[in-house]
Amino acid sequence: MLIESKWQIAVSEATTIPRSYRIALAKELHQRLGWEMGGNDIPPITSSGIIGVCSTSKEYVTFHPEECYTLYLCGLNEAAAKAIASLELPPTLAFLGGQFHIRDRQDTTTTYEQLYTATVAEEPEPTRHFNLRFLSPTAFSQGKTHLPLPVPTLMFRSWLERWNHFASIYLGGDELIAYLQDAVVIQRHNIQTSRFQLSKGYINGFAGSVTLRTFHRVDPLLANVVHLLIEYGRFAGTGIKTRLGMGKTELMLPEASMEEKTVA
Amino acid sequence: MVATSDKAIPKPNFYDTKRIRLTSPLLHIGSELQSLNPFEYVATSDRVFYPNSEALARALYKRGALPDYIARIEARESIISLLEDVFGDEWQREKDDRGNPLFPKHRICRKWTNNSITDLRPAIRNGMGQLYIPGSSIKGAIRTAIAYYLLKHEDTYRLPEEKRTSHIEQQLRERIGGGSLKKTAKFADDELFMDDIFANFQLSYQGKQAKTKNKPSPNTDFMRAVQVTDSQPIEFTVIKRRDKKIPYNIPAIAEVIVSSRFPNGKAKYRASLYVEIIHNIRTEFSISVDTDMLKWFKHRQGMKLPFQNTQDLLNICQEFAQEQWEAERIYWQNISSNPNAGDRNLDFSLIKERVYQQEACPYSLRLGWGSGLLGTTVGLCLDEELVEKIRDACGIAAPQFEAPKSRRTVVNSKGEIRYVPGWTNLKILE
Repeated sequence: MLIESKWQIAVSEATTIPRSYRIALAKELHQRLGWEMGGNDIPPITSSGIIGVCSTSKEYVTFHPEECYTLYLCGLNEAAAKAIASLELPPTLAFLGGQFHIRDRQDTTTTYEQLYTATVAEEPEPTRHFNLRFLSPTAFSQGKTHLPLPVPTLMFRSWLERWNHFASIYLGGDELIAYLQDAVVIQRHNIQTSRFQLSKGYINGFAGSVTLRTFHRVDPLLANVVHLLIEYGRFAGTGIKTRLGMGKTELMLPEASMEEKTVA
Repeated sequence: MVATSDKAIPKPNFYDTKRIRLTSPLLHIGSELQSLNPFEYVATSDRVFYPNSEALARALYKRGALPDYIARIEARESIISLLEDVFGDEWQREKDDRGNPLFPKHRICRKWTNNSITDLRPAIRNGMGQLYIPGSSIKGAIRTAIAYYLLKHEDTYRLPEEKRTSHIEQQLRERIGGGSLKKTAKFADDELFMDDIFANFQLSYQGKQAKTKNKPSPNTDFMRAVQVTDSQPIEFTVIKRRDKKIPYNIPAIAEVIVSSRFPNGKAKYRASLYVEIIHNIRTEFSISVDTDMLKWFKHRQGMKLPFQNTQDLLNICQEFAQEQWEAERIYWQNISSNPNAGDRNLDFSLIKERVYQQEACPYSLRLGWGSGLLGTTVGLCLDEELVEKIRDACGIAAPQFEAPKSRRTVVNSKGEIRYVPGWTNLKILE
């Protein structure tokens, strides 16, 4: 089972907490889930931090009462998904001196088999454009440094690695990545660097929107695998430190992306 | 006085060392020189002599014939008549003024062919000029056998999933075909593939995790725990058995026929090579498995090691040999002789009847030159079509042609196509 739980959050007054709050929040949520943090090489739980318009200074971040905020938690295996599904957050979540009022909750659930069946096994007409939004700082590990850029192969490698780890259907390895490398390009992007504050230091990531396109000449099977992995990215997150709040990825529906285009 | 008591701590025996007898009808392990120039050997009607060039030059110099020798080399002419003029008919036995033979005994080969030798491929020799089989060649062949074995029994040994071929990749390969495969030819390369199977290990010793790089390296390769010595020098011997004298370790220069087949199964002649082979090999080497060191290795993805001792290694080799044997046997059964293949009579009946006559492979390992694509790769684990694509991408492209494309057979001294190189038998000596 796969789950993405989305909570609407609000603050009743301007609330300023340290910028490194995402780690404390992730710890708090893991504790409430009764889930040990850091036990697995590939974490089965991803979180997003609090997403929304806020003002930042060097050390602090301020949430405003007139804004709406969202918090995501995703579970990538049966146990984690069940724990998230049965998680009851209190009406007010207090941490690091801030009071966050938990409002609405929406759950999206599916299974690995369902995702695979719908996008690949039933051989649907391939979708070839994908509008992705990276809601929290996203980066990839590159040896001892981090790369804050949406390189398609790195994104696919990140999703594929998690898929292969958790799903019973093995999709492929280096060879598949090599095929994907020739199949997908970035058509458009609107990204900027975004800092993910750790307790000491920070990691530079990117956030914003990226449109990926699969070439028309690409084999439909490969195009469908692209679709599958991107759909999965919504649950798995992208790149490094997804359990702490990095790499929250959203796949926007074609209509939504059209709206965004009109506004822009 | 040195007292020994029963309290003495016995030295732990961590090594499983076994002496192995290697026998083979015919083998060639190449040397660093792929082919010799005509003046690096002297071919008579029935022998090929490799001179001790220093002694030869010195002796010729003494007799004032060095300029003539140099002139012949420059003109790429045979030096036999010069040797006869200078040293007489017994030139083969001649020595220089220091007593060194010009043509050392262990550097004389029989000549199995009457054809003129072009591009002679010498066999590997040690520093003393003696023929031998390097331990590294044997270990390399064992390594391929292990890779094959792990792939074949991937579930038993929990081969990392990413080293298996997924259903999707398989389909994509079939549909996308050659062009794309060429770009990913590296995937087909041993190194990428072998590294992860052999060397993606963590090491722990006496309960402590050793510092290793987080990637495969020779330090974390479990074949570190296996040592294979070079073979004993391969020297001509005659062993008497039941009133019969059997000569062993006979070096010879033989014609190797490279052949393939037409679509209708008829043999097709491709080329002849002249190769120094060793006929009827009987030698020894040893394999040590450091059983203690093997325990240090813990695969990062939980793969299990497929062997614990020398016997396990030989069993793995045997299984790989059997699979190759079956594939080769089918190939040769489906070939029909071609008496008019150019100026060659390609009669493979002796190969069918004398080499591949039985179903069970009588050998343990295929080794050395001429083992072919199936012997040196894990090709037998893969789809035939895929092996073709790999051959086309990595080697000489031969579209629409089965892989491996050609086979090598060796012509004996009677001019019959009689041997297939590389089949060896390994027997543990007690």
